[in-house]
Amino acid sequence: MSEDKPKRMAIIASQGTLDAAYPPVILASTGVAMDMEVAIFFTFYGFDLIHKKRSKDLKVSPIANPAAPKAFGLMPVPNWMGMLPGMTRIATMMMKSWMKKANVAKFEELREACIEGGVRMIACQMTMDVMGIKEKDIIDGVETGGAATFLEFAKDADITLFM
Amino acid sequence: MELFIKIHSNYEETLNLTVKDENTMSEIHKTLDARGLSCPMPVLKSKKALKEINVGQVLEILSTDPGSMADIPAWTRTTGQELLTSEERGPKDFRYLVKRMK
Repeated sequence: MSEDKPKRMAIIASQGTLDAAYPPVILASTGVAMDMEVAIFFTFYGFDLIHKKRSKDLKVSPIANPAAPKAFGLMPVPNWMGMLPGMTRIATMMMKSWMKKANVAKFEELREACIEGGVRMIACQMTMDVMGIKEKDIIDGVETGGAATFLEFAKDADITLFM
Repeated sequence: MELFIKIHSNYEETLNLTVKDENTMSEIHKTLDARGLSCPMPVLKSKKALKEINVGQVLEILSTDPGSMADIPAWTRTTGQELLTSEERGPKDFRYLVKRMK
């Protein structure tokens, strides 16, 4: 592969659920391991993934998500039941137990691997303003920027992903 | 105490020298035990371990992740490292030898 110019991957993380939290950090950390330059732009609900407090409490929503873990295992549960009290908590608990059983790394661990590996973590400034988030609310190793910051990096990307 | 350290380091040296792969006859300089880990950790840890050996040296990777059969070769191809061996020794028992090329 070309020695001088590394491959580049640009990712937009726009969702803040536990199930949607994994793909950006799995691909970004692996991209770094494959000698790529990687950036993740955290915007809208994706901002929760770099929010100190909120990233510790990511959840799986069973509503409008028929593939989400069901409370009663194999028994078919209509999707509308996802709106019942406690269903989000149950789906989240079940997903966490699946992940633990398969020995999947914790989200925080993969996010740490991204930062350690030099992934450019860009927090959307506009989202911060809209949601009233301060810089002190964000984890270390993250820079702030806007659409132009992301596009400047993404214009030369070999892979661009919206998640 | 000094003598002990001397003997001990000699012993380690001998150990290092004797670790050889039977098929490729290449000397193994480091072993990464990635057993029990699932995607993407075997690749991430392999990358880290490879940085700890010198160019020309060989890393042994042990994994239980069936996905590693596709992922480790993809990783070595993309990063320009040499995959000397890739073997499935059992249903969840995979072993790779990677030579650091750069």
